[in-house]
Amino acid sequence: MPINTASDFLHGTLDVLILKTLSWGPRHGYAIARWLETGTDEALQIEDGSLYPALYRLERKGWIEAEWGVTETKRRAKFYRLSRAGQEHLRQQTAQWAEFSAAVSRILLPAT
Amino acid sequence: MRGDRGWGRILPARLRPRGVAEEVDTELAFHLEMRAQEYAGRGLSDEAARAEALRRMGDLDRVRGTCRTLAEARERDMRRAEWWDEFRQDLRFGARQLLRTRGLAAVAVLTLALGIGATAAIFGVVDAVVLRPLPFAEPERVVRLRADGGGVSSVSNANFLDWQAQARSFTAMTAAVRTGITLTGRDVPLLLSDAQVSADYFRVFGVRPMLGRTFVPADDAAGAAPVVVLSARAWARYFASDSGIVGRTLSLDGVPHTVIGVMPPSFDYIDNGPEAWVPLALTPEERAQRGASYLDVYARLRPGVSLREAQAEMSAIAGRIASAVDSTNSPDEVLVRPFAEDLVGDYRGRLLTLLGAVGFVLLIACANVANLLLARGAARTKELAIRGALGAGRRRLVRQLLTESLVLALLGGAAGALLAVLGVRGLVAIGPEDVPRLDQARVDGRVLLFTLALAVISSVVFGLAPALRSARASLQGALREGGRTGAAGVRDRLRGGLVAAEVAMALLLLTGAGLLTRSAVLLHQVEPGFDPTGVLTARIMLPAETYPTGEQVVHAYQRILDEARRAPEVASAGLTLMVPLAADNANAAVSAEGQAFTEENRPMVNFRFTSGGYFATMGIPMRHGREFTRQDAAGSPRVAVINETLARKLFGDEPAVGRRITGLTADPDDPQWTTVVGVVGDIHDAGLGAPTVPEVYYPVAQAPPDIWPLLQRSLVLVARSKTDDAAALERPLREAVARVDRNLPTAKPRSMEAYVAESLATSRFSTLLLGTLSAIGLVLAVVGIYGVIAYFVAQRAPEISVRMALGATPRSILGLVVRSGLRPVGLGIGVGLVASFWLTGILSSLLYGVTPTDPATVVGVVLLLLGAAVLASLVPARRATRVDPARVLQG
Repeated sequence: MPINTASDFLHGTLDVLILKTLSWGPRHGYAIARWLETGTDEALQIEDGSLYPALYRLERKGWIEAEWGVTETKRRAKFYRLSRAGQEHLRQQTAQWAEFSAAVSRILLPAT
Repeated sequence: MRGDRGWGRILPARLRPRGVAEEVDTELAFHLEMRAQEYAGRGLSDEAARAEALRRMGDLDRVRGTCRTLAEARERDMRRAEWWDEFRQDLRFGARQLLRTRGLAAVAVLTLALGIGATAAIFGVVDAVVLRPLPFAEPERVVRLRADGGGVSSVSNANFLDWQAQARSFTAMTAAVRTGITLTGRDVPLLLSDAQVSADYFRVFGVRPMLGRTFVPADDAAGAAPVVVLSARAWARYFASDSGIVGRTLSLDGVPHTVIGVMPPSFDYIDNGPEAWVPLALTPEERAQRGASYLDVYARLRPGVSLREAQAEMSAIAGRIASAVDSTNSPDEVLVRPFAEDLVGDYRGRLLTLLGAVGFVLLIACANVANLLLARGAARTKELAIRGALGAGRRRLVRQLLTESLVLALLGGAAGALLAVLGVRGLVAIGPEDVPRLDQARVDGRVLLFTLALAVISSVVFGLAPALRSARASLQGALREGGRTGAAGVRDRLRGGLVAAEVAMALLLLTGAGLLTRSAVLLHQVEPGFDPTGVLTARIMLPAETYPTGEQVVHAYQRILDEARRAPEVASAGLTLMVPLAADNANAAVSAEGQAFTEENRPMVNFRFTSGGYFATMGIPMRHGREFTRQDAAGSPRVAVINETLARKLFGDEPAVGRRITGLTADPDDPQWTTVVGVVGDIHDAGLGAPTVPEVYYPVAQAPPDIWPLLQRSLVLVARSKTDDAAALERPLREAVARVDRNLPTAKPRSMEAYVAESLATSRFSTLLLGTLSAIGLVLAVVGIYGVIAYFVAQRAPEISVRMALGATPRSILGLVVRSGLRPVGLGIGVGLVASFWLTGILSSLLYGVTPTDPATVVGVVLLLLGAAVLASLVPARRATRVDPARVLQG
């Protein structure tokens, strides 16, 4: 897995996490943020300021698609949904992550 | 999916935020509000909750900015992708459309191929001859300096040296003189065309040698060891591209010269450029010489100095020199011209005129295709109306139609490129020999790129109007009206306008071609003043080493002439300094006895040295007196023969024979009185189209002995064949020269008929090309007229039927149709005539004997166009008279 810089690594991680979140169904930006927080038991605090640029970036890459809709509280919100290309990308990234973490684990946590 | 989460209602368009910026703002505002609610739910005050939400967002402005940029980039990506997608769709659709109407597409492609191909071919030639930069470093800085005034453009040694010493506008200045040099020490002596140049020659042109070095100042000093630089052409031709040539010694004019360098092939930028260069190496006596002008002077402009500044400086220098020294020997003015302009000369104007003319042909082709598309547009009204009804906007329809035009134009361009390849080959083959760099014309990347651009531009030119019309018509409920009447009136006007434009342009082309043709005919009828039939000419050059003195030179030529006359094939023979039409010239001042020795009384006239027998051989009639004889020798009384123009100029109506004029190198102290012994007829010396000028002939034997080095000890041997076949003399003349000196080379002999043909070649080239172009233009215009009338007949078949049913005669129907066709033709002729008065002035420098508004030509062209238009409309008109009223009205 090519990791060039720390920020690349973080971008990549955030992207994959967003894609994963959307794989369970479409939701708006705030819902994604909440999901990430609760999903990681608040261990991963994502600054809201980096979430939205990530969403726009993913949309431009064609991995997610957006549509305006209304929430249950009758408010206008932009809903994101995983595209076919996004599903494929998520699958690849997940596989790579598994490989990577397995490799790191073999070194950091040798079987005793 | 959306449904099962309970929020899944897509917002109607009017509730959706408009624009990228608003979308981002709305989305972020929603987020902040939700966060604030979240914190408020945890018990924070509203204010604290909002503050906390903002804190978690970080730098709100930066986030907003990043999001907007990303969203805009995405929009751009999408629009571009969509555009290409639609373009591909249109291409596919257009190709299908063209396949469906194969006949029409073929006609359109052929028409365009003709227009684009002709334009690309002419462009190929213009590019090679005029546009492409010369193969020098910064070629735009290289200039030629010409003396102006006195009729001699060459420069004398002393004047050149003064210019070189005084001028500040140039980084380098050089002088060159084209001569011939004999290469011996091989099986046959070879006459190389060479140039004697001063040291800075190659610096002026900014070209480095391919092998070895070029001249340094020391090489150019009098008495320096002789060296030579070879051209790549000579190196390949005579020395088999021997890479060890540098350092070898060649015998040139009997003197050993060391080869110091070989120039790259690119420096052979013209066909007849020098094959070798040797230093000018002026001796101190030669450096002081101001009387004879034979140097060509070139210079390289200093960076930052404009042509105008250089010209101003040179004018000042020339004025200074002229007032300091004897003004008859120094020009009062110097012309500084770009070298490229000087090289291409008057072909630049000719070729650009042709490029303009071929542009008209392309426009006519475009007008024709536009007419075809309009006719098809009428047939497609329904299809377009359906597309319009299905939601395609006008812009979208226009784009689709333009894409179809582009497909047509690209096909036409591809076929045109093939035509251009053939066209350029043809142009190179028929072009006059003296067009510089014409042989380098070919269809290369530049020409292909130009062709592509032509195709794309043409597609808009011919496609836009039909596309706009069709798209408009489609929105006018053509469906309801059955797609028949729609915008027929409007479209008729457009079609009529196109025909008028075609006719106007065809008229311009035909007028131009007509004027050139009449000029060519008149030029052919010009009596040259001599009889070229069966006359062969051969230039001979005597090496200084074998023939150092003037006496020896004269003696050798006398022997050569005797030997030539002895050949059984030769009827008569003579010698001359230069033959007519050879583009050589020599001038001197002459005045008559009894007139003051002042500049006004001493006009510059052409002078020639000739031997006895020259006038008879050349067929120049003796009007009075006699030819030169053997008795007009060096020590005998000075004699001269003058032509009728000079006789009139000097002596008016009085007989000239027996009067005295000044000699060639006369000055007030020594007028060298020379008796006129004969008057000969005028000849067209500088070209058949050029006026006759005063000329004086002196006998070869009485030439000033010190003039021979300036003349390269060179004369032309002319001989008339007993048959009319000049070529039969080639062998006898060579043998005659070899009998006198086996080591004397003769340049390739040339018949006088060849000189006459070459003098006509340029005019014939322009005439042939413009004639061809105007013929293409006429055919295309006639096709266009035919198309419009045929369309008119098809459209008005019901009306014609009604008229016929009501008793109209076929004759009156014929008249109706032809009249309606001639209306736009008449308009076009009117517009074309007005334009021709403006435009044919461009041709005036190419015309001979006719004015640009020659009435006979204009009337002829108008009649030709009208006749062609009537013929083109008769065919559909006759079809109209055979319309069966019953069938049409029932249908």
